[in-house]
Amino acid sequence: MRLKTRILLFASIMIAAAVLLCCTLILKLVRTQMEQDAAEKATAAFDEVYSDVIRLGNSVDDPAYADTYMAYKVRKADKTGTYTLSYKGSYLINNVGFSPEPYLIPGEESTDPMQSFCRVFGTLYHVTGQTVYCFDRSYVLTKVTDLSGLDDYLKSLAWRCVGIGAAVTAAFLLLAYFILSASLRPIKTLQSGAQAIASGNYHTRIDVKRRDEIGLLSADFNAMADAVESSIAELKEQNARKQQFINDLSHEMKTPVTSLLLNSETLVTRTVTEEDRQRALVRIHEQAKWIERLSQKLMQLVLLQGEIELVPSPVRPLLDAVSETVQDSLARSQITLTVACGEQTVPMDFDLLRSALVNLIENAIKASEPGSTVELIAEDHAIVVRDHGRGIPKDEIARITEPFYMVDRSRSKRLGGSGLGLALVQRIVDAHRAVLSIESEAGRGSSFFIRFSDTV
Amino acid sequence: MKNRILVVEDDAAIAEAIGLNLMLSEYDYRIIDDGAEAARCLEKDHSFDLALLDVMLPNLDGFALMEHMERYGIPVLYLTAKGDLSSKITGLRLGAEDYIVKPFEMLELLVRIEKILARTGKLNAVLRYHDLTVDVSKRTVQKAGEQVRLQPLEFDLLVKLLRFKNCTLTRERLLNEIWGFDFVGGTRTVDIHVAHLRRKLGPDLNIVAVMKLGYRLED
Repeated sequence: MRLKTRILLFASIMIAAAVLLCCTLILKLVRTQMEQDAAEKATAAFDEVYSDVIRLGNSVDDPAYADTYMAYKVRKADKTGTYTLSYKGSYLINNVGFSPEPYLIPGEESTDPMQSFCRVFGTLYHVTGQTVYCFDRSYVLTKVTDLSGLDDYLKSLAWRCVGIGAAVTAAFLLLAYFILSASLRPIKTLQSGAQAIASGNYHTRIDVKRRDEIGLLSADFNAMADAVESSIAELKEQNARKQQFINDLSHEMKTPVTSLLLNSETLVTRTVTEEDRQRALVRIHEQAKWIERLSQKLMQLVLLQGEIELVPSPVRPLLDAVSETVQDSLARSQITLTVACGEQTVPMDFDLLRSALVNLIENAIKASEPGSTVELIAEDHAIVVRDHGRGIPKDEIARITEPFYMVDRSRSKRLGGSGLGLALVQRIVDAHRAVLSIESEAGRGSSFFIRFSDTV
Repeated sequence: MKNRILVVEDDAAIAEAIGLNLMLSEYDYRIIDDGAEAARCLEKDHSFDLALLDVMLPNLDGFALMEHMERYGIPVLYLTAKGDLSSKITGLRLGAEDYIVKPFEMLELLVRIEKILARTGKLNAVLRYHDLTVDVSKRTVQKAGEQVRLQPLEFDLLVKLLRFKNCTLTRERLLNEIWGFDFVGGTRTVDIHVAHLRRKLGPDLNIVAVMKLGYRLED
């Protein structure tokens, strides 16, 4: 059952019960009051007749005529025909259709008239009586008052109460319905908002400006929707980045794989000269090496997803290890490396940071002309790799750390670039909670800064 | 007269492998590794029967090269790592004859090249091998000036072997291309027809059986 129906039903039952209770109480009071009035009136009338009967006195001397005489006196005094006279249970006068004597209840004092209310054959009567003596005989004089008028009046009053009660309940229901509808409307809004979010419209917000509980709930709901939207957006972006990476990777893999397939297929299916065979084998070997380099970098990237442990270590051994590693490449390209290092300590993972610096220096070597110099400088919580080579066009600087992004694709490939080097460096620097920044001027060289946070 | 093919591909290892295969299949070829250079070069030298274009090229991409090719009526076959539908459609809408996605097999490329040349009517109609002259359009075979009578299927087999000279053709491929996919006979049929060719054309026809693969016609 819906909340509104339930509240309305409960409230209307309560209201009806309250109205019923009130009406019953009022009716009861009215009834008591009216009965009292009727009894007073009846008793007053009775007293008059009674005193008339007494006043007439005893003017007979023969007891045998007592009955007749008493009946004569009563008939004389009674103008309404509502009096009965009985002697030892048998009635001398009775025009009311039933025997009222058994209903008489004695009053507190023996001189008080006996009286009571009684219902005979469904009609309400008031009976009141007194004993009257004549000679030694005791007669009972009784007045019977028909109160069916009172009964009817109360009945009609009760019906009117029911009618008014029903009208009040109905009016209340109508009013309650409108008030409830108005106060439950925001819940409907909340519900449709929640449904919209459930079906994927994460930008849905609820416009309920109230200070009550529903207003608070709406505010919380909107806060929840904000959180859901932002985490969904984050997930989507993450997913898009991953998808982009996979697309780029599969595209990147296709070229060496095609080359391997074509060259090996040629060797398997065709007759070629010894010289061509040798050249095809060299090409296969080159491509295989390239794939090996690519997968190695990929592996490093994958391994970098987890947390790494940073140990504060002096920089000098690191720079020594780096320059040791790049000696061969330097010699091949006839480039000099100068190292400048102050005494300082930074938090690092030695192997990863070395790998990042080696990558930066190999990039610098690729960008430089033979005979030029590459600088490796450690200063003031920063390590800098500076070359005096080709430089990077301004609008490309922001993109060069994206995986597989190469400024000059064919040149980069010729020099054995995988397009992952700088992406890897960026990851390693991030893992060190450091910042990688690049300054470059086309034709004059580039500087790569790794700036560590100041805490040692 | 050999068919002449332009290869525009920036990856040297792929370009050289294609070049080697084109040479072995008796095509003339020229390799260019840069889009803009290819466009420049076409102004002077445009007597090509077909162009194999990579899509992602330095300076000028393969799609942009299309109009240069059209100017000289050179049919285009795209070789590319971009396998998505929209770039295939772009390529074909621009008027490419065919589209082949990397990685691909050399033999498939050679078959597609042959199909395009046949479609554009540039395929050599007369094939020569030692003292054999095969006229594909007239379906005649002459050995040292003498007419040799071949069954239709034997003729098709001979043409296939000549077209893919120095290239191993599997029995299955030969069955598919000559007898058709619905042919129910086994691969023995190929062996029998090869035996017929050897008997009719003599020992000069150097058909080499390659273990577990198929046959190769060698020079």
